[in-house]
Formats: sequence, structure tokens, C-alpha cells
Amino acid sequence: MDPISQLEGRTTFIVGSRKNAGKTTFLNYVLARRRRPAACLSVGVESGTADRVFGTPKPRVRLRPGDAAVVPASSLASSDAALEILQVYPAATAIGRPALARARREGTAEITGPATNSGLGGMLRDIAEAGIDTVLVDGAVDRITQAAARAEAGIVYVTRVEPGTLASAADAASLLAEAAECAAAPGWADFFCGGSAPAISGDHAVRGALTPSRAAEVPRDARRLVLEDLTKVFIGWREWSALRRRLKIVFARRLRLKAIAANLYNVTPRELEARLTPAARAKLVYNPYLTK
Amino acid sequence: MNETAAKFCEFDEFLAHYAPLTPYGREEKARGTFYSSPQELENIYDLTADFVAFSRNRAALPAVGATSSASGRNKAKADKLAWHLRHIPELPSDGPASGPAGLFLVHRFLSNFKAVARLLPAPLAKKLGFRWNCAELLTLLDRGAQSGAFHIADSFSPVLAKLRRAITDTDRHLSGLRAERLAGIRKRSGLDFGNLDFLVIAEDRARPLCESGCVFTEPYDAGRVTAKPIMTPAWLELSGERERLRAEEGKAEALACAELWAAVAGAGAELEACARAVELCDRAFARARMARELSLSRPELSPADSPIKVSGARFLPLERTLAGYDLPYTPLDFVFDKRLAVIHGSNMGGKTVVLKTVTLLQLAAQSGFFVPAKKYSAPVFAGLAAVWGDPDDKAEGLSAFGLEMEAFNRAWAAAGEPLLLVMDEFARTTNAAEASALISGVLGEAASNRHVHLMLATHFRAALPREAAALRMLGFDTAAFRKQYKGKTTAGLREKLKTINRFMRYGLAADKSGAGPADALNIAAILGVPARIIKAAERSMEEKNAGN
Repeated sequence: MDPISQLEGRTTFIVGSRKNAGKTTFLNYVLARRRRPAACLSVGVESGTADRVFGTPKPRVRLRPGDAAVVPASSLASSDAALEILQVYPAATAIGRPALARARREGTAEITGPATNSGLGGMLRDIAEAGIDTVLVDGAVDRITQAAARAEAGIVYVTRVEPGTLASAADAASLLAEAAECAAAPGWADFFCGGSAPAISGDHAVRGALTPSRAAEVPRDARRLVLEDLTKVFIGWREWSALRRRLKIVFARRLRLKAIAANLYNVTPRELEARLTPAARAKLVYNPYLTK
Repeated sequence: MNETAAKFCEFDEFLAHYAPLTPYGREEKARGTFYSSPQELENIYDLTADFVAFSRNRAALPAVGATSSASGRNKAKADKLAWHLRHIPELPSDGPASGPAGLFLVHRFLSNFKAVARLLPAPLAKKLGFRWNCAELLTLLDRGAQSGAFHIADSFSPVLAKLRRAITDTDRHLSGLRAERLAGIRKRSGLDFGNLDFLVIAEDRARPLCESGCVFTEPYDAGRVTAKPIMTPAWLELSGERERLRAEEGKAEALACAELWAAVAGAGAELEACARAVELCDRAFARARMARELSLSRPELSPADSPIKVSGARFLPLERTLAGYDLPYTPLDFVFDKRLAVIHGSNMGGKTVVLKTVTLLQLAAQSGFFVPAKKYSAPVFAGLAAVWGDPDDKAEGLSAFGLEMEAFNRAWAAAGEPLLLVMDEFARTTNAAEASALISGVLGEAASNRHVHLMLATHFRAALPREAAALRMLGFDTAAFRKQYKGKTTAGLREKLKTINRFMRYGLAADKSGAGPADALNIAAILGVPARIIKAAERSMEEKNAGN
């Protein structure tokens, strides 16, 4: 599967199984191979204070002329991409004001993002107004929800697989792929924005995260379990499978899983694939930097 | 103090319709200023009225004598004004430290300010303080702007232009050298880096490439390495030159940026004046839009001690709720011509709504808004307070009664200046005799304090001082109800409310009889209290009346 063709012309959230899963590396791969101008930003804890606190390098991306990125305004001068400013947002994090900027020549830039979901929505609108339709968002899965739904966004899940984490990584990828296949229940969208629940017999809705304890509370006579979207699933593969045997799981907002990008460390593709469900295998791509 | 009044009249719901478009207007909204100067308020009302006239269009509010094309032009102008206001950012408070991003904000601020100034009729622009004194600064910043974007352009410095040309040439050469080097590596090893910075390859394959100086490797996992191409000395040398040029470019940009900031600092006073004008314009325009959306009208401020006169007043939260039940809303008309007013009336007869309505109108008026009434005339107070048994009011160790007394004390502490004090069902949690006595005490004290304008709704009867007017809600039309229903009951809350609404006569009248309303049992019956209980209560009332 060619992940690039899946990502051009739309907004894609590149989310990781954990820190250092390889999200930014994958993002830079997409940027190196795509054909159309793109915009990049990051969301989640890494775009704010954490990197400053822990001193880890902030994500940098390579831009071509015409590409855009949300960068810390304080880093505009240090970028060698001759950035022109398209928008400056109010300061929201320890890194100060984020700015949407467009590269006037090839170069690298440090990326950052919004502090809130509404801020993310505003940035995505500004990027669209700048005429860029390929948007790559590096970061946290818990920040996807509403902005992603509006932007008809897709997800690329980047996972780091080592012998010690093979089983859990395969389960997580399988669960995500299965969840992405679940049907949509758009009639419930208002409920998750604070509205009232539609009267649908046999439906049981869970606001917020589906945790093991909340999964255990799902009534025995429920026929459908309604969740906001797949980012709200916080149960393991075993609990997920048990629920799926009992009832149908649907999402008020459906997010599209574009690919599962696996970075294998001392694990063979065969070992991983043997543990994945067919749905997960269908979405699988390997570290694109790998060469035989 | 005003907070209790705001909460009592659900002022947040009213304020939710107030939507300033600029950061300056939003700041003013967050400050929530309560004005006690009539002159200041009249100025705000004048500006709001000007914007109501400015944005008037045929569809929303037919203007006498306005032609269709003229009203269409006004609508288009109002839309453009909104667009430009929405795009006005806050001027950076950190000045030169905000760098080029700050210059972008100054440029965007001035571009939109200029457009707003052009859209406003000259007299209105003058009233708001729209003076265009920043033309020179905008012309200067325009040199870095193109289609709304801004950067430290070549035109700001001849040195910059020269450096950037050199960087572009160097980049072209570097790109050629890299392509040449990668083609060599590909030919030699079959490794195709393309435009990737590195590849992950098998360790045994990397070893000869490493030894020949083609690639630099780092461990990836047990059998693989990440391999990065090693560039030629010519590339490395040119890359160093590129870094030097880039550093020079950075210095030239910083210099140009500092010069631009010096120009901005020179226009500091003018920019501050622009920001003040923007705030005035935004808040008046937002108030005017709100006035149109909610059909609000300009309040009339009357001298101190004047009566409060209300005509066609609407308590918006209730109006909305009733609309949800498909029930008509009865606008209120009343005059409080004495300084103290005691309101009696039926359960669900609208006493609380009267108090909430007048609180909303007064708070809106003194916050600089037009009000939801056909006509509202009232003096200006230094403060508003409500004592109403706020369910959220909690303090350790205090009962509901204790909390209410504490709330009263806080409100009364402001009675050294003109105060509108609203009290709903005061002392409701104690026995009738003591509650009446407390109310008498409060009325007596309020009668002797000319600063206090008191409105009190209660079921209890107390002796009234001559400064107080006794008023009653018109109440439930028992005769009409009995004729219609003859003992039948209705099912469902919506139906019950409809029934009560249909037979309740909302309105205020002088309470000459001094007798309390006797329709609580009817209301309780409609609300579904079991018939046996209602019958027993009626018997008890009859026995009591017979005893009297």
C-alpha cells in the first residue's frame, strides 16, 4: 500500500503508540515523498510545555517552497525556510504565540500547535484558506476528536514493535483496525456535544472514555454500545473482543484509519502479521525507510 | 454585590448574545463593567443607536424613506465592517520582543483599522475617535506584506536582497552536488536515498559502504543500521558557506526588524488611540447587533428617586422556555412609583419573574445595553443586589436561613449609596410570624434610608411603612378554570404548565384588599397533588375560616 496517495488532499493525524514510536520520522517521510504542497502542525503535550520541561528536541520538519507549518513565533527567525507569516495566534502555551507560516524556500522549521480543540479547528480553517489541502498533524490521539470529525480526517497509527512489546502492540493495532471498521451512528453526535440522548431502543451510550470498569457496566440487554469515536476506546483487546461478541459497537463520529505504520526492532514482519487480525493486516505498512 | 443580581436574573444568558468581534471588545465583555454614570451610559446608548441606524436594512428593520438599494448597501457595509473587525488582532504588548510576528500583528491591525475607518460614516468615525494618523507606518509595513502575509522582505534592506540571492544560488549548487553524490552511491551500491535523509539497511550490507566512506551508520536493531550518505568535501565546503550566509541573513533580518519596531514605537500613542477607537466601535456595533437580534430598546435614564416604569418587558430566559413548550409569553407592564414595593401573589403567579425582569432590565441598562422591553425608564443606581436563597450559596455551618441572612447582610452593607435591592421570598425558611416580623424590620429600615430602592416578593403579610407600595400579581383565574375543567385533571408536565399558563393572569395591580391569594390549592391540584390531599386541605381551610 502506498501511504502517500492515501494522505494527499486531506487532513491526517499521525498518532503514535507511545513516545518515540516514530511519528515525526514518518511525517518527514510523507513530506519528502508527497507531490502537493502540505501544511504541518503538532498537537498534544509535545507541542506545549513538555519538551521545554524535559529538554527533548521539538519536532522539526523539512518544508518546500509553498508549504506551511504552525511554528512557535519565537522560532521564525531561526528557521532557514524564509518563512512568511500567514496568521499569529494568541499565546496559549509556554512556547508563546504559535504562528502559521509559509516557506518561501526549502528549509526546516520547528512545529508546534494549538492548546485547545477549538484552536486546532481555527488553524485547520486558516490552512484551508491558504489554499493547502494536505495537512499532516503530528500528535496526540486524545486531541483528534472534534477537529478530526470536522475535517473528514484520517489517522495513521505509528507503532514501535519490539520483542517485549510484540503481543501488546499487535493487540493495540488490531483493536484500532477493528474499531475503525465499526459503523457510524451520526444520530448520537449531538449527545456527545452535551445534547440529549436520542430515544433508540437497545442503545447504551458512554460519554467519555470506555474504560474496563465502564465496559463492565454495559447493561446485559444492550444491543448497541455507542461511543463518541475510536479515540475513546481505553480497553484491551480481550475486553473489546468480549464486548463485540455480545453487542454491536458504533461511533457517533467515524474516523478513518489510513494506515498502521510499524517500525520493527528485532521482530520480523511474519511474527507481527501472525498476531494481527485481517483488518489490521490490510492497513499495515512497514517503516518506509527500510531497504532490502 | 452586582454578581448576586446577575445570577438571580440569569444575566449570563443575556450576555451570551453579546458577541464582540475584536480582542478589545472581548476584553471589555470579560471586564463586565457596571456603569453608574448616566453620562457614560448615554454615550454608550448613543453609539449603539448610531450603529443600529448604520446596519439597518430592509429585511431586518424597515427604514422610513430608505430605498431598497440604499438599505442593501448598508447591509453590505455592515457585513464588511464585521469582517474587518473580526480580523483585527490585539496589538502585541511585548513590543520588539515579539519580532516579525508582532510586526505582522501591527500590520494586520492597521490594514483592518484603515478599512473600518473608511466604512464608517464620517460623523460616527469621528465620535469613535477613528483618526487615521498611521498612514506612514502602514505604508512602511506594506513593503513586507502580500495578500495578507507578512515577512521581512528584501525591500527592507539591500543587504538582505543580496544575501538571499546568494543563498538561492548556493542552494541550487548544493542540490546539484547532493544529486551527483547520491547518484554515485546508487551506482556503486544500489542504495537509492532519493530525497530521504537516511535509510535502514542490513548491517552486513552497510559495512563495505561504510569502509568506502559512502555512508555513515548508526545501530538500528540487532541486524540493521541507519545509513546516512556522506557528502563530498565540495558539498561540505559549500554547506559551510550556506550556513555563513544564513547567519548573515539572520543578522540583516534582525536589523531590519529592529528598524521597523522603532517606527512602530514612534507611533505608539497613535496606535493606542486606534485600539481605544476599535474597542468603542466593536462594543457599540456588537450591542447594536444584539439589539436587533433580541428586539431590544434604548432605556431611559431618569433622575434619582424617579419611579421605575416598565412596558412590554420580557424576561428572556422564560420567554425561551415557554417557546419550547409552545406557550405564549405575556410581556409585563408595571410602574414602581414608590421607593419600596412589596409584591404578593399566587404560587406560579409571576412574582419572581417580575423581580427577575426588573433586575435584568436594570443590570442590562447599567451595563450599557439596550433592554428587552418596549419602554424602560429608571434611575441609575450605584449597585444592584439580590437576596433570593441562591441554591449554590453554601457556607459551612450555616443553614438555608443563615445563608439568606448572610446574603442580606452583604447586600445591606452597600446601602450607603443608591442601591436597588431585590428580595425574593425573604425568610421563607422560618415560621410565618417571625418571617413577617423580619420583613417588617427590613421595610422599616429601608424606609428610613433614602438610598435604598427595595422590591420584595413574599407570601407573608407585614405592616407597611408609607414609603412602601403594596402590589399583587393578578393571579389565577379560579372561576374561569372551574368553569372549564369542572374537577378534571391534566396529565403530563407540558399539559399542566399549559393549563396554569392559560388561566394565570400575569400582571401587577395595587393590593388594596390586604388578603392573600387563595389559589395555591388549585395550582397544586393541576400539578397533580392527589385529590384526597387537596380535599383535606380545603376542609382544613374551611374549618379555619369558620373559626375566624
